[in-house]
Amino acid sequence: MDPLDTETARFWEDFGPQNPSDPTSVQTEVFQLPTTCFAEENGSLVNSARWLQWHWKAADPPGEAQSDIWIMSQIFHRIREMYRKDGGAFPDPILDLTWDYTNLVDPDPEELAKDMNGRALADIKDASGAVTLRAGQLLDGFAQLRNDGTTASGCWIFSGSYTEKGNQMARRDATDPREQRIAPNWAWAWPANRRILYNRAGADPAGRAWNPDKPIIEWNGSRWVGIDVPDYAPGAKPSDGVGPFIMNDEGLGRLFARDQMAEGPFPEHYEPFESPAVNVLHPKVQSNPAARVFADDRAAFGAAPDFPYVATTYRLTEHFHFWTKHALINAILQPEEFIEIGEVLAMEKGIAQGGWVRLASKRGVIICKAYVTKRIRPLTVDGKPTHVIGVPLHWGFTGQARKGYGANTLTPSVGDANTQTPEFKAFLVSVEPTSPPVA
Amino acid sequence: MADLQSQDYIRRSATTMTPPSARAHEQEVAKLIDVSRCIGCKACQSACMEWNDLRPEIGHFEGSYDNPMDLGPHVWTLMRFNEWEDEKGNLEWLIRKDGCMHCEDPGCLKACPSPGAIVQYANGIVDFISENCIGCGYCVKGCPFDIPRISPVDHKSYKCTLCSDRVEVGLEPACVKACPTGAIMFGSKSDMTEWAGERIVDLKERGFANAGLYDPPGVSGTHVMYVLHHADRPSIYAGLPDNPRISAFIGVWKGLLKPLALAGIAATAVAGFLHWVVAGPNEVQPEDEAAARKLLHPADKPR
Repeated sequence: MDPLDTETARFWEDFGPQNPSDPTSVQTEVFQLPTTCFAEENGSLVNSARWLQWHWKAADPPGEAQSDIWIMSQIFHRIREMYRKDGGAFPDPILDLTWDYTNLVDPDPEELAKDMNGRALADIKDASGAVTLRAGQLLDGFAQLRNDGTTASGCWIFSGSYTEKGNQMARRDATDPREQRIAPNWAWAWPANRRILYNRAGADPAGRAWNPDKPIIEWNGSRWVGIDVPDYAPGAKPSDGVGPFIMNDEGLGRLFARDQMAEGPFPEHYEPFESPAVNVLHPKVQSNPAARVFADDRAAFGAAPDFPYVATTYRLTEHFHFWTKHALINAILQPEEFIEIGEVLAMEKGIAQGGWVRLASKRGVIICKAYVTKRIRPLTVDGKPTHVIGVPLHWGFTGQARKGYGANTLTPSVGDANTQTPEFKAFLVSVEPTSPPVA
Repeated sequence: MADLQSQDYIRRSATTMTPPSARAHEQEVAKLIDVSRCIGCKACQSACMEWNDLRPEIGHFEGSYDNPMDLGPHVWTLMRFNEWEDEKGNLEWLIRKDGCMHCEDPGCLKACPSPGAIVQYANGIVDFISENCIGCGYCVKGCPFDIPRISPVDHKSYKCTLCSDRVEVGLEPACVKACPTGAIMFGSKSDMTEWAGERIVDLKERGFANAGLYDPPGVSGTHVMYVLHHADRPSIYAGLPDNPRISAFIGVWKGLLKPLALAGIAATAVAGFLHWVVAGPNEVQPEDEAAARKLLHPADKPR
């Protein structure tokens, strides 16, 4: 399912040197189901400030494209029918799945949003026995969730996003009461519409705002009040001494990660797994001993005698990852794969401006044109001149831009010890001028 | 653009009549391109293609970040990239958005022989009126900035309109709207000049002693201006002319040769008339017919 025709979906197809393949020997059958893009459907987008913003369909999708919801519903009904007819090891979760949408084959995104928010499955009573929530009512927030099966929520942090008051994500009141970029009634922020996490830290130990002109929450003598939802027990008195960083055991912010890092607690310098230099701090521990490396991948590391240059991958301003090479205008603005190489190395290797090169690591080869640039100069590393080659990464064999090799043909498979982020920013390559490919 | 009409004109190509200039009270506009704030993202090129509905061909990488490689009938604005080292070896990646400068004294308009194919509006914008264009290419020769391009398809000349259709209804040009860093600004020419002054003070404080405004007097100023960090040498910005002037040839041709040619045509007519009066009309004689027949190919001879 994808709005774009991706390399992943077309891995089996022979695209020439950029993706050689013999489809008759590929044992995988691929079904490509074209989906709508965000602008072709109602739904929500979550940004890095945790806002859930509802958006509305602006255009009909092209061709036979359908929404993810429609496609998943069609598959679900067929699978359930098969379980009904043929049985299975444990059919209950599929046969008994709650599926009470108005349109059974194409549920409304708003109904799914209500499922995410959650609702009461039975009447909920308080300690006195009074009904606080009737069965079927949408929850106001995650504080109403019960662990006895009387409430349901698809995602607890989104609880409060679609309440009996309506779709909170669709709110568009941009009022910023004190002009400090906090608009509590614009869309909805998870959790609990809280705009600033740990906002108790904006007030001094006595509960007064550090900056009296820009209070966020303050202690009014009995409660924490202000323009944001307190990220703190609303009735916790300043004299109780509860730290503002409520998710940390000690309630305080941390400069160092203490026991949280696989190789902590202090920052340390390790060389990349492929490096032309020895770790000058501690030659015996060259690279991060806690990084995730599989044996086969370790066997595919190259060394400086064969691959003397350092390469790094990066993006161009004209493109976004591997998406925009599918868009005509972006493809016009940056049409074809190239690498960037400094003038000194280009001279040494006899590589002309715009000339074809063969760039190789121990894992693979890419053939493309070179941009000879003044912007990359040799670095002096451990006393030795070290050449760096830049590998912009947007290319592939599908889309509007010209066919290119994936930059990750070259890169090593190393996962950072804590984040598992791949080590694509430093690896070893060789480079040679080559003749243009035969068209 | 066709939405604007002749009462907006203050200049009209190949016309002796002065346009009515009914909107001469309008403020002159200007686009200010602050090269020092440009990050080379090409959002302006993208917006230009979107608004004007232009889709040049997908090209190739040609040893440069410039894509497409040149201005064209479908490329009205283009980022030109240049890696420049000063005398001390300090590298600067100079990126200039190229396109029509909308000269106050437009060389293209002066050179144009087709009535009304190039006009200037009261707000200063220089526009090509395609239905009047005869594709002669004189505007290309007349332009000190090498901007207009003739379409090989319809043999008409094309260039940036400064989004005259947007400006007419109070909007900024599409490139201005799309620029994410505020490197392209739009407003009245006086406001833009003032804003440029502030930027230049700032740049000078940051060590660019020769920062300045590019509003070249050789064409009586332009309605697209640049803030340059090295205004003392515009040509380092991918060949921006240091001192642009309308080619002297245009002046000779339009100023001197044109009246001479008109006099020549008039003299021919007068001579013909005098010949008729004095010697009577020229008539075809039988020996002329015979001579003409000899010249014809045998197969074409009347049977």
